[in-house]
Amino acid sequence: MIYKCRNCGANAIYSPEKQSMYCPYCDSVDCEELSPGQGMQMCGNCGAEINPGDYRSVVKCEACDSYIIFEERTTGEYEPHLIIPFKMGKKQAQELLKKEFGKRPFLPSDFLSESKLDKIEGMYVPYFMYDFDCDYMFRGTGHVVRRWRSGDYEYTETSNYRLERDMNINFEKVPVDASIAMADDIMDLLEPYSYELLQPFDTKYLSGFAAEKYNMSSSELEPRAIKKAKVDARTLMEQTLTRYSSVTDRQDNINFQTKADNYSLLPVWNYTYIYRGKPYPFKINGQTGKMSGKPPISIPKVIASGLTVFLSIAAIGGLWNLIMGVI
Amino acid sequence: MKQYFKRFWFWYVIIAIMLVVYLVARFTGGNSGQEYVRTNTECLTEERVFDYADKLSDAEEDDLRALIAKREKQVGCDIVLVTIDDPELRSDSKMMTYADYFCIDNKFGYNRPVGDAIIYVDNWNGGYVWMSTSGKAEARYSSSMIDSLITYACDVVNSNPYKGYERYVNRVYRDLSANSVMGSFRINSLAIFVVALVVTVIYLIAGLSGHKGKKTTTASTYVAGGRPDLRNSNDTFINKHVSKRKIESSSGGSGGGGGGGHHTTGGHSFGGGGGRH
Repeated sequence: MIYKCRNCGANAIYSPEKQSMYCPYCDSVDCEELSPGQGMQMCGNCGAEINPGDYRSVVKCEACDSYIIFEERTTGEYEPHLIIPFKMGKKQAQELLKKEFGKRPFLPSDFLSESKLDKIEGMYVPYFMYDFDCDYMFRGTGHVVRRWRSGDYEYTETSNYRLERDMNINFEKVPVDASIAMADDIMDLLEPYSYELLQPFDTKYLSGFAAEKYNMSSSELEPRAIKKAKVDARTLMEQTLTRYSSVTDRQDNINFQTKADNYSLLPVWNYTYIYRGKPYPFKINGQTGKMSGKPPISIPKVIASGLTVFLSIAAIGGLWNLIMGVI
Repeated sequence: MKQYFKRFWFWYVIIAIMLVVYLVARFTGGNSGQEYVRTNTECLTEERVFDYADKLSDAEEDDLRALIAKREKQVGCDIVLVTIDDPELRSDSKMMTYADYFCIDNKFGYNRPVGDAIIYVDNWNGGYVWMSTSGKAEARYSSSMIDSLITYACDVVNSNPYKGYERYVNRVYRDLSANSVMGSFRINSLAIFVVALVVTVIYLIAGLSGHKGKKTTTASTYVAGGRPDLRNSNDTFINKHVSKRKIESSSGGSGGGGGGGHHTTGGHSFGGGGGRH
């Protein structure tokens, strides 16, 4: 399906800046009407061939630039429960990249060129958000150590305590991305999203952006979500033990019960820079602007800059000595 | 390339300015050609070489006088050499008093009596050497500089007294000349290398430290209400034990030493230092 402008028939898209549907051709706002598609191989607007791959639920037609939303991948079992619409537009994302990397000395020259940055793509990434009921039972021995001096002696007093903790933690919406193409460590660094802006899913938010259906099922991803939550649970338990110098004989019994798994789409700006054949992916949280990704290093720039700094300081020192010798 | 020059233009400007300063200074000759005018008219003698120990030939004495006369004009300081063979002056303090009074009695000083002057006394009876400084020489010479000068001269004085005293005169010139005063601001070549290396390494590390991103979630980010429900928190005291250990007392040594330095003789301020050959 395609969202078309009622006034001019062009592809209407969701505008993060305006927070509404918008026609970039006639500037109409909230002008959209839904038009049926022509399957997953053909553009419903111009009839050109399109390639949705295995997971894409929205594809941009290379011929007419229309965003084709696949009903087959956005309804039924693939219909997301929740979505956070893009809050940052493309320009804003580009500016963020320039601000973050503009002053880095060893980036390849064209890393922030307009032509490269123009390839930045907004994408809704599939996530599962888990609600867990966590029961955490802890037993252990705590030691409090106190030292003081008296005369020529140092005294060490160790007090031992039997520790018991029973904690219930109600985890809400622990996110785990369900896209194989997205590296987990990079995606984790985009968190947190602000859940106040979570909304019931609506296909209109997809128009203007790429999107994927989930690549892995909820049951496949649940262990990773539990692992994430377990790290947080341990940290929360440690916070109750801070008065002890050390804790021994630990027994940590943590049980998770999954209460819900919300299939959701979260906004990400995607910039992939290819340097010497190797891709360097950068992700920007489409809601908060938080960024992750490691930039490439230009070795010639490192050598040139390093030599310049070294030789400049050496030259300044040498000239200083020469000047002091003749004045 | 454009980015490169944008980043490093400042360095090149500094280097260019320093290069211009150096070339101008070198072209105009700096201060090296300056000659001082003697203003002390009360000095009781024009002699500078007092070879009481008779260690120099007449020709050598004349050469030294000529050299001293030239150097005095260049540095604006009386340069006096005294050789003695006196068994009564076999200590630094006696040598110091002798040298100071030699200056006072003869009213040495390039600018005024007991002004800018250096008296180098070499007692061949026991090998005691004392160098007394006053006026600008006192201000210029530290104890270590005097030690260095005496060591430099004494290295050869036994085998060739003239050579040793020539060294004394020329080292005084080097130490007191305008070039040398500014030369004290020179930076050691090894220090330049080390600083350049350290700054380069810091610059590269700072530039290369591209992190992936920061983790900004906390343990309670996904916890409903922001905090867990601690249903049971029970800490039961089991036991306590105390141990003690003797604190080892440490005693430190102290060292020190000295020599030379500034002092007053006959109401005049002198610097100085001694040594032996």
